[in-house]
Amino acid sequence: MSSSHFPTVLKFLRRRLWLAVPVIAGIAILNFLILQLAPGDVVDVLAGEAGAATPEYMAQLRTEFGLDRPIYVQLVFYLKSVFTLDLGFSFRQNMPVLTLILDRLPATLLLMLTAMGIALVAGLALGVISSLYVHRWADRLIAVFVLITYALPTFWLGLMAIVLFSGRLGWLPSGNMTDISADYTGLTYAWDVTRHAILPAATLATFYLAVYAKLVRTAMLESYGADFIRTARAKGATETRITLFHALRNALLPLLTMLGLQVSSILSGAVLVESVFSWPGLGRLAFESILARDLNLLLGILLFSSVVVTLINICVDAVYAFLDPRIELQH
Amino acid sequence: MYRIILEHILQNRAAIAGLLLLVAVILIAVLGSFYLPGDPWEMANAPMLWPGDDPDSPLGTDIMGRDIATGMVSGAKVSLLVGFASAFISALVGITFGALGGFYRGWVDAFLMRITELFQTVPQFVLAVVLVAVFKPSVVTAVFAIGIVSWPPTARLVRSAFLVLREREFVLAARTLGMSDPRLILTQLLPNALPPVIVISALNIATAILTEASLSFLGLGDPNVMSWGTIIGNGREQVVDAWYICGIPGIAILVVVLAFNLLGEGLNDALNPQLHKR
Repeated sequence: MSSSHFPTVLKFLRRRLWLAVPVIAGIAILNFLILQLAPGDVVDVLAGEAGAATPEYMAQLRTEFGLDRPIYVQLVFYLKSVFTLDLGFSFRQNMPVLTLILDRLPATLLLMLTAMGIALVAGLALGVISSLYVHRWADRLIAVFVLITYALPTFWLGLMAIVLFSGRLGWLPSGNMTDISADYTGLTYAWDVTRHAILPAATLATFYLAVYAKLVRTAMLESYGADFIRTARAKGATETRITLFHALRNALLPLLTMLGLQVSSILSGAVLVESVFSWPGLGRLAFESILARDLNLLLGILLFSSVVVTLINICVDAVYAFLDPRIELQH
Repeated sequence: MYRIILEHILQNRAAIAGLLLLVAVILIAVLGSFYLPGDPWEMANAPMLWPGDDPDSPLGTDIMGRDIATGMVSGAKVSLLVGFASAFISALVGITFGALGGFYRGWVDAFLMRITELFQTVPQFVLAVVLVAVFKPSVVTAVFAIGIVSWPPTARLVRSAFLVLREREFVLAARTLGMSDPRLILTQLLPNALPPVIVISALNIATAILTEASLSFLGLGDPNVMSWGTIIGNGREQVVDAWYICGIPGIAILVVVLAFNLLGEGLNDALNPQLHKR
């Protein structure tokens, strides 16, 4: 992108970020509704069950939330605390919820982005192979793979990967993000994290890989019939060039649309994959808070992960405009 | 019209395969309760028996000596029940949102679509986890939680169908006859918008079964009901030594979800015969 585009991108980001505010408010209201409908009063839920908080703090919270006041006042209180990034305190972990979440966020983002990368590259490759050999055995094989992958429970796939690759073959570690006993730095650290990331990222990527393979196949087959491909052929472009630079480039757009739609589902998948592989991210935190019945932390994770989804979606839209010059960022 | 659709389904290999698999699972769920009437939570045999070790426990036992075959039968019932019930709730909510939005348009539509978008932004599984955790894990909360997180695609589908249908002449005719809005929606528009909802509901059943398994795998299953996810969750600590404990229920989930996916795909082909040769 040339430098003259840059202010447009900034403007686009600013406008999209403003549009995200009502979405976040909506999610906060949803959280508030869940709190209201939950058994016990809001403070019971927020302070964690089974009396992990001191009675003094509970009393203080009750006044803060104004539980004696009308419900809309309580809602305003809640929204105010959300927008000042005050997500409350986790008594089980003895830390503010926001700190806990921000601590775990990089690991989840790393896992999500690696998985998306694997899914995109492998999905593109399988989709292109499928479209080049339509109705031949390679295409059929990929179709069966896609069908089975659609039905695979992600967490189960992860467990079976542990059985095979860590248990039987002993190639890869079965959990955590780093080797706790070793104290690596620099490149050896990066290699250690990579080794730990392979299984969880590949597990998370499998489902999306299948979706993208199917999508790319359809998009490629459609574009082979289009006029611009015929023009390219008439100009004497080689089949490889047509496949890679003409057909594939057009197949990227529906792929990106799909990716944008799936961000929230990938985050959901990360929760499961992380709890299988003890990957120290948001999902593992969610799993820990389920076990400890730390509902406030769980609600914080829900809110924060929705914010992450919104932000990633904005990035996807920006990339979309970059890939397709017909779409302008202003609109 | 429905006869023709049925004929199309019976000519569709994917749909037939899906139906056969589904019938097999239903048979296992129904007949299994007669052959294995035991309590899936009770210690039935020596612990950690591999499949085939003891004819009394054909699929082996877990670390507590619980019979896996008995658990599988219980799990089949839970999966089917949760799948159908939550897909039904999801269809109900989705149809209501989509029908009202598509029929009335304007601010009603704008408001309902904002809510729909909100539910699409929130990570579905995380929301389901929160709902089940807050309202105490049970089969009923799982059904409602899964239903509540999965309706948006149905709502969008019904809405777009309604937006087209409401302009059609037969609707105008019915309106001219003085038909009330509820009657117009229920008797004129809805029947014509229903076929794609049936397809998406079959796929919703598949997703619901996966979600239920994931919830109980994380320990958010009904503490009194043995489901496939519960068996996998209980066996995960020993998975490297005894992979069959997690392996067998996982394959069952795979088969059931595959059945509903095939069925949905077959229904889709049957309802859109012009798309068939893709």
